[in-house]
Amino acid sequence: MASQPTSLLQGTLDLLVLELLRAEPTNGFELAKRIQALSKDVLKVNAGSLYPALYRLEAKALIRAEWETTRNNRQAKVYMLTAAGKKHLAGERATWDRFSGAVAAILNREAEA
Amino acid sequence: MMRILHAGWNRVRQLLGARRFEREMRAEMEAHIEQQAELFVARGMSRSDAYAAARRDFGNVSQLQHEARDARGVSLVEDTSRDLKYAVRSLLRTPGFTVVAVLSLTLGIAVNTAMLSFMRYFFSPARVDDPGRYVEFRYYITHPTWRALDADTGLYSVTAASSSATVAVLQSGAAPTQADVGLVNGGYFRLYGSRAHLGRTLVVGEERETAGAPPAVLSFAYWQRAFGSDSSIIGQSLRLANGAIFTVVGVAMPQFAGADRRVPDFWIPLHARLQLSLATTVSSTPQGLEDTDRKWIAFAGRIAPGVTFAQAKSRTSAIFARSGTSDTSLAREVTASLTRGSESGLTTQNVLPAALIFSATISVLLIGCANVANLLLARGMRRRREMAVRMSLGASRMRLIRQLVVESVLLAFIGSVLAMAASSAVLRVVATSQMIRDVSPNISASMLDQMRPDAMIVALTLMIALVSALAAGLLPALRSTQIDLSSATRDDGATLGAKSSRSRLRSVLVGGQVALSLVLLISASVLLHSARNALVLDVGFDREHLLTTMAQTQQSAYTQAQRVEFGKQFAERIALQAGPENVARGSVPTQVWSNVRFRTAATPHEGKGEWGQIAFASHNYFTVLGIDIVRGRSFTEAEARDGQPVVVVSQATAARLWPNQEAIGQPVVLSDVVPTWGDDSVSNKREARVIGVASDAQILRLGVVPTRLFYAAADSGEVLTRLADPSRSIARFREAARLTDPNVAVDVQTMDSRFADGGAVQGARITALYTATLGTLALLLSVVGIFGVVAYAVSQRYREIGVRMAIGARRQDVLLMVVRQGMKPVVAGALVGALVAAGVTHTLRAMLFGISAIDPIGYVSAACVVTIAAALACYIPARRAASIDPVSALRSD
Repeated sequence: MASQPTSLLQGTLDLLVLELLRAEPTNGFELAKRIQALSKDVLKVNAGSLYPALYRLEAKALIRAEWETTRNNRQAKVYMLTAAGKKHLAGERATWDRFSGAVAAILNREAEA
Repeated sequence: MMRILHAGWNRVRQLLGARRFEREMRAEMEAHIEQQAELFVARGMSRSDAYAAARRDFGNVSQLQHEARDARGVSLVEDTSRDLKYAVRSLLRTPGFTVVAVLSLTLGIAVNTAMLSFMRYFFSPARVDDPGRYVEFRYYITHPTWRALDADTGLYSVTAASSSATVAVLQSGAAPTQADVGLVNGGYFRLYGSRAHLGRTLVVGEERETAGAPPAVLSFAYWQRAFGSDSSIIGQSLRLANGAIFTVVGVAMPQFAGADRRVPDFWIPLHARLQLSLATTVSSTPQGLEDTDRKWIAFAGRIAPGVTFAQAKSRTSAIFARSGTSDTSLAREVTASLTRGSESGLTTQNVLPAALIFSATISVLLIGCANVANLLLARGMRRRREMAVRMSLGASRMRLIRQLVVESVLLAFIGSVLAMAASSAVLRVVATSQMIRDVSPNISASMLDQMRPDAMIVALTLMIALVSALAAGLLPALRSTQIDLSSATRDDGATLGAKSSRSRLRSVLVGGQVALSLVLLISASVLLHSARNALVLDVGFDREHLLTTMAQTQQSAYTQAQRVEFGKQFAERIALQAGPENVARGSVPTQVWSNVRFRTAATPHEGKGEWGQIAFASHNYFTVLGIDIVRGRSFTEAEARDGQPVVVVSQATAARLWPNQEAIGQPVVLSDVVPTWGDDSVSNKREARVIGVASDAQILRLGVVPTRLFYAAADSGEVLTRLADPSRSIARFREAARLTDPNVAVDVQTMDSRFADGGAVQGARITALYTATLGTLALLLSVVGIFGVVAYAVSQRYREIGVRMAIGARRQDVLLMVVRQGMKPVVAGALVGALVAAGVTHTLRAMLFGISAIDPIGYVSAACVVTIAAALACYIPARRAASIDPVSALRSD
């Protein structure tokens, strides 16, 4: 993760965050853990990348946050998707599919040749 | 769409919730670390180890916070408030710089604020409601004509009639004091402001109240002065020395000025004029008001709705024409002389000095800004390191420039606050000064009120401050952030003898300051010389031995016949004292003359002829005034007595109208005599003959040789007397006037003092004084600027000077070097300034009396002052440079 250019990572990270928040609203820590788990430890997001992404998305009103009290009587900031965020997610997914499809097409064609 | 609204709302929340955001962010990160630590504890770490590991795992908190803040986006308001706090701190850290910069700006801005306030007061049109419909008429009219205008309510919805007189008011126990009184109708207050400070003002129709004790309204200043602001004044009586009694019904507002700036002491109804006339020569019957001959009313009015200005002019002209009074001759004048209130007081005569004053004031501001710019440039050099470090840490250049500009704006803002206080104080001093009090004591009150800074002045001041801040601060801000990072952080100080573009800019600024100061001082010096010269200028007639009198019969509303009688008796009395050969009648030079239309044989038949000027002269006018008759002869006594159609022309006129011809005997047709003062206009055409040519004399205006001047034979002008020492006879002549008729005020003055008090000379003198003051301020600022630049250059070249002295330079070599380098931009600026000054004085030549635009005394004296001041400013730091100890200099950083 650390070796890849930040811009690509930022766009992809935003996509992952939006998708996971669509599935279940959660806080930053849980989100990081989930990304790590679901990608089977391939993608490890550190706090320095995650929280700026979260704040950016919040500033653009794609997600919003509320403070909730957790089981341990602690205050946690929980993020959830907004309606606009849902629409944005759909668009980003489509873009990603087209992108990854195109890359796969070229790589597989070369393998054939 | 909703997203944009949401995003906008987020921004608004962010504007207000910066601190909350910080708190939340910290809380969130703490929560994250806690959760991570708990995981580690669950895996078996100790609590403290777990926390340490969690924090390490979290990463660089502050950098994260930075990025988080960036991601969130920072508002302009937050940025600017942070810039302001930083600016305040950094300005406080360098108090010397801050004080000098603020003072330079304060001086420049204060001068401009004061000038703007004064200009607004001086050039403001009459203060009336609905100035677009307000009109004034230039000449006096008769009472019946005014009544006709007043009656036509379809033409004027309100009319104001005013006249003035001087009376003697009885004070209890004390000698009677003189007071100026305004005779007005009720409409006057309705037009100019009917609000009273105490009691009430006159109402429409009240001008007819003459029974009993007619109402009187006191002016605010008079109420303060003569009655000690007694609030029980309403209902009390005002007694005049002639027995007339008035009842005080009100006190006007302090700023109420009516139509004139010369505010009278109190106002009484128009018809009460009858009660003012004292003794013998005037008929005190009400028929006096119906007189179709006397013109004594100044008229103003508000055009009725639905009437255009053009319509008003033609309808007014028609009323004049059929009024059956002597005003029919003025009917044609209406078009030219009915002026709109919205026209400002800016006339062709005072445009030039106004422009000069304006440019001079702006120059002082520019010089102040140049000082601040230089100071900022030097300061920017010193902060190079700080800027470089901040830029290498990631601050954008725009950000730094913005912060530096905020500093300049802060300086300018402080300067503008101080400037407004200073200019208010200065204006107050001017308004209450003796000079203004001499003009009229009542003016001070209205001046003070109208020159008080109001919203508009404040807004203008702040705008000036903002523009100054940008002008002074933008370029240095750009320069200071234009840094080659590596060399700046290394901080090698100045390289030997380097002439960076920055020092060139500083030199240019200094040169500019010197140039502007020189222009101001040269202009002032030339104007002062001119004003002094005006007092001794050869004007073509014997000004030193002339005593002039001007009878203010206008105010006593005498008829023409009565005026003539007074003049005759007064002249006879004077002739008894001074000798008849020394007494002449005619136009007082520069005070009394008329415009006239004339046609010569050469004038084409179509068209009405040209406009020229006509002065009246009795048979010995030319001898008494000391004007030579170069061809032909002067008038005989009979010609003057009978007013025969003969004229004498001036030499220049003869040369112009009849070049290469004999002027004597030429016919000339004169018509449409329109007086500039006093008398009624005469419209009958007269065919006259030229019988003499007089040498040129500046009869019309100081410094101007008239080229279309005719002297007409007349016996009825003002009395002019030739005396060895005119000033000694003033009291005697005044007494003679009083003996002839105590109702008539006669103004007795020597010709020289009339010149000195005349508008042209006063204007030149006041402009000169103002320019001199500004020039001195400009020079002061420039000297401070030069001192700063040279001192800074010395401090930069500290090591270099040490090296020079170490290899053999003597103290005076160093001194000379520093002074020479410091004076280089000064000399260049002085040359430029002299050239510009030549252009400026050339434009001013209309105001110069008898001296050329390139007046050597003016130029040389101003140049000397500037050079000496600048040299002194260079000398002081140069001495410090010369006393540098080379060893410590070489060792210094």
